[in-house]
Amino acid sequence: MLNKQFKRQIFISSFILVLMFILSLYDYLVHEHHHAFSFENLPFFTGLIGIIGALFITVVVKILGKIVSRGEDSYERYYTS
Amino acid sequence: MSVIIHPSLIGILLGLFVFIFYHRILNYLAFFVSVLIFLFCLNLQEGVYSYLTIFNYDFYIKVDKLSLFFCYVFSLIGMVGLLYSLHEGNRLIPGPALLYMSSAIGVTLAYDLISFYAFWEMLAFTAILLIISSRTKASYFSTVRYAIIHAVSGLCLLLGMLYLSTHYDIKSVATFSNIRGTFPYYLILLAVLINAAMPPLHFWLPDSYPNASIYGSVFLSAFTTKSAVYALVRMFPGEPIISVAGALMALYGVIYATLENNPRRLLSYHIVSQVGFMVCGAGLGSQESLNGASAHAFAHIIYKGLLFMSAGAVIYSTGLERLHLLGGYARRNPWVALYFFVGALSISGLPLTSGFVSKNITIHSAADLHKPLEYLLMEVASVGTFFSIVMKMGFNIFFGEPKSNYEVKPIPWNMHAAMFIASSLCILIGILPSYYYQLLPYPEHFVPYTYTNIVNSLSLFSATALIYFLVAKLIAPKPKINLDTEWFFIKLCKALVYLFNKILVPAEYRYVGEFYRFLVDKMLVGVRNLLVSMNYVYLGKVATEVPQNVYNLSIKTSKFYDGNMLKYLQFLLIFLAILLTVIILI
Repeated sequence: MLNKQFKRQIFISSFILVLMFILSLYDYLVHEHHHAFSFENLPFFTGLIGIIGALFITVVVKILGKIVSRGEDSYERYYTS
Repeated sequence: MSVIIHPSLIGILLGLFVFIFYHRILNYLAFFVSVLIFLFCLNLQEGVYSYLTIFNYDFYIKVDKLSLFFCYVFSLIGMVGLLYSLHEGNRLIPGPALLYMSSAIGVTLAYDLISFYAFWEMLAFTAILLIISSRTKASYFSTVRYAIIHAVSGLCLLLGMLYLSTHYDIKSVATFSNIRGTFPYYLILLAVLINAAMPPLHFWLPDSYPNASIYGSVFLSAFTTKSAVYALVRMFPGEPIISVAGALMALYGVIYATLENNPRRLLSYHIVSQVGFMVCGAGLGSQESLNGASAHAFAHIIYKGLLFMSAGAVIYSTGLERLHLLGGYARRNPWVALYFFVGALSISGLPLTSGFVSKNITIHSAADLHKPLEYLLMEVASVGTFFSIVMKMGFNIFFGEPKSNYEVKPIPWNMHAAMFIASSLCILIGILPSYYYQLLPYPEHFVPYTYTNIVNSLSLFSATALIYFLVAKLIAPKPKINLDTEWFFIKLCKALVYLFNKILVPAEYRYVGEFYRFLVDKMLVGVRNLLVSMNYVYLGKVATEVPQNVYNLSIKTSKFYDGNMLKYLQFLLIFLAILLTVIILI
């Protein structure tokens, strides 16, 4: 699954992600927060949302694509973009 | 009551003038007028004014912080859009754009229901001119679909307003919370939600905006949906249905956007998604969330205009409008790439951009009001926004190797200038949020730049970027189109045609036809026979007997008129003698 074309980008984004993980851990340990929801108390919560959200969208898009995607010509009769 | 000249008046009059007497030089006049309107809006003072009286009926405008906030951005994007299209010689751009902008300003300032309705309809009509501006077959068909759905919206609004004024004696545009649950309330809400492109009634938007010209879509992206957002904030604050629906709408839009291959269709789905944030903000109903909806509408108009302008610049210079054919454009024209990424990072809500200071108000207010569903949906929608625009669209157009041999033609100075202004605004709003918040309709105390907010935002987007690079092959653009909810409407129309052909036509033939058979066989044939017999009896006699009689008469007279002059003389003398006798006797 690892895309060789994006090796460098994967490395950079992983590095930023690890950095953010450390910074958010620092935030979690040092600052006191009063979150509205209990799940927000998880350390690195937004990073997890990013990972889960992106994976969720990928899966939904793949499944939805199987259902709704058509060849460009097949839609020609409706004269749309 | 003070009297005022309506700020839209100059735009309407000169928009019509430019449209009717079009010449390319009038593009400059249109741009100049848009600058005037912007300055006029800047100088508006709060209050209620009368601007027209017809038959003792006064038409009003209401200027308050909410209407002013939308007026500023509508006039601003109109100005930037007209600068972008300054070089284009197309009758259907500057005049209709001025009219469209004036209509949107008219909607935001309208205080009486008639003004609101009139400007609302004008908005739809002028949008049609802009959609058709590309003069392609696809745009004509999209225009028809757009007109149909907006006719429904206009009709719902008209019925709702008539009902309001007759049954509830409400004649002005204000919050309708006191009549929640009534028939006109839901009619007007439906009209507004159609214009806000709420799924499943959103299909007109990704259908029509990509089919307009590249200049037309810049204006289209700004006015119709955001006028609807204004109407929601003004009339339906705190409506619980739309808060959840808006959050779902935000997610729906990004999922479809991720599927797309056409850049302008992708951006159109992002309008659906971003308007979802605003609809949710209006639905949450707190002062902070209404501020969030308004702030996000303002920021969205600027960065969405910028994204449409940069996508338009790519289409203008390459002639290509498919992601799977592009790639490596940043090497050919780095400025357009820069403008695009400013817009893309703004829409994603990265720190130092306008999206960061506007979108987070709504998300924060959802958390404050303890709405976990809305909060999570909007967070995932933010992930999807970054995923589809910055990563998918950005990387496939601007980076990597070109996927086809395309030529790049230079972009006019005015397009660069318009994109530069919009990019600068995105960054200015992002770095100076306190000035921006002062313009909001309600006092705003949200502090966007905290350590936690910045780290959270960067964590969200770095995680999304990592996942994108890992799964990029799976969601690579393909030369496909995606069916949306319009499929249901197309199927419905086909079912109606089937109903007519297979059920109603035979029924008509079988049952209604029996009636016609009686009518034709008995009555009409009877009349026909009557006429035929009359023809034979009377007309036939005339035709045969009159010539015969004339012939007989001629035979008889020929015996008398035989040519003997003496005989004629005898008869003449006899006739004179009789005549003389009669005279003497009398």
